[in-house]
Amino acid sequence: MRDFNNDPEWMRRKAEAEDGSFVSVAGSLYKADEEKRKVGDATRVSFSRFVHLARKEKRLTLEQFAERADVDLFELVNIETEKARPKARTVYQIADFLGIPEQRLMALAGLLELKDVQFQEESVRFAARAETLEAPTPEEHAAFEAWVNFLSKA
Amino acid sequence: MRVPVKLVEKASGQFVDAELFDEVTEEHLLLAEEQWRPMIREARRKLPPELRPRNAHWDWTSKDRELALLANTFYAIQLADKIEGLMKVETVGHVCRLPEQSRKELVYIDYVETAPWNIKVLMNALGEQPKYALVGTRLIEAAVRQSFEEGFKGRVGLHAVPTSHDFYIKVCGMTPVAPDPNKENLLWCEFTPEQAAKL
Repeated sequence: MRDFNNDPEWMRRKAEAEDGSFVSVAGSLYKADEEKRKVGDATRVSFSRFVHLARKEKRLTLEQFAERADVDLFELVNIETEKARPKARTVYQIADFLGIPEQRLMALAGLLELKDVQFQEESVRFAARAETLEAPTPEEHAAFEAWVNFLSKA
Repeated sequence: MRVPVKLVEKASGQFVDAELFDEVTEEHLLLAEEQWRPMIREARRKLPPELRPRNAHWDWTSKDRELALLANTFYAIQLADKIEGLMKVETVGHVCRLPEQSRKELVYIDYVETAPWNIKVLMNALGEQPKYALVGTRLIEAAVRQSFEEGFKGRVGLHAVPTSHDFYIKVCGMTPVAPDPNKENLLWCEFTPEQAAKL
């Protein structure tokens, strides 16, 4: 039977080395994956709502938006109804049409992982604020404007 | 099994007597959740985003089953009425990956965590210093001890999260074998019998 080490010198040396370290491991009970997936889902919801509100801000029908942004109408419908993950090209086209940095919109669409906690938090906050109503409310308008400003930052 | 273990109180540098045991019950897990989570949340709120530890949580929803499985052993370190650290190890279904001991059985550390008041980054965020040292080391000692008892000669393996690399490699002396593509590329670390004997 191996004993626990009670040698004072060993204990002091190990205590100093340990120095308040994290010791976490990632075994079967670790749920970081799940959490990451949830963040990805949340940002995708933000992307759907963002596209929906952008179209309303421009007073465009789905057909008009699809035509001007040069994206497939059915894919646009799927994006706004959160039914499918958008294609990268579609996101690029929408970013170009709206004048939004492509990388950030790609991250919002869940196609690119940005190691930016603030970005994730802001996108989730936007999704929570932006209700899909028939006409943009002043709050939606404010949320939309704030979100555009945030996305447009380099 | 209940054994006394010494920890080091950081403020005074004095040794203090705690107890390490493997008779962990659901109440101990709940007690740790109750004692630890509010402090972790508070510290995370105060840390700038770039310093926030990866936000993970532990799924104790099937704790009854986890506690009942014979291949699982739970360890806890308690000092007075506080849980200072928790660990779960598995003795079945895991093998070594280092070429020189490939396929040999080992003790797998599936979960280990120390109380937030023993973690420097979290306590500094709260304007305080960590309370006790050696909690993590004592738990790893317990895993090595069990490995010897199981006949695995001290072989222990685990998936270290990035914030824990230094602890396992520099403090414990484990070998960082390789990132595991089946586990988010987290670093697989392993003790050889020689390294375990030196801990």
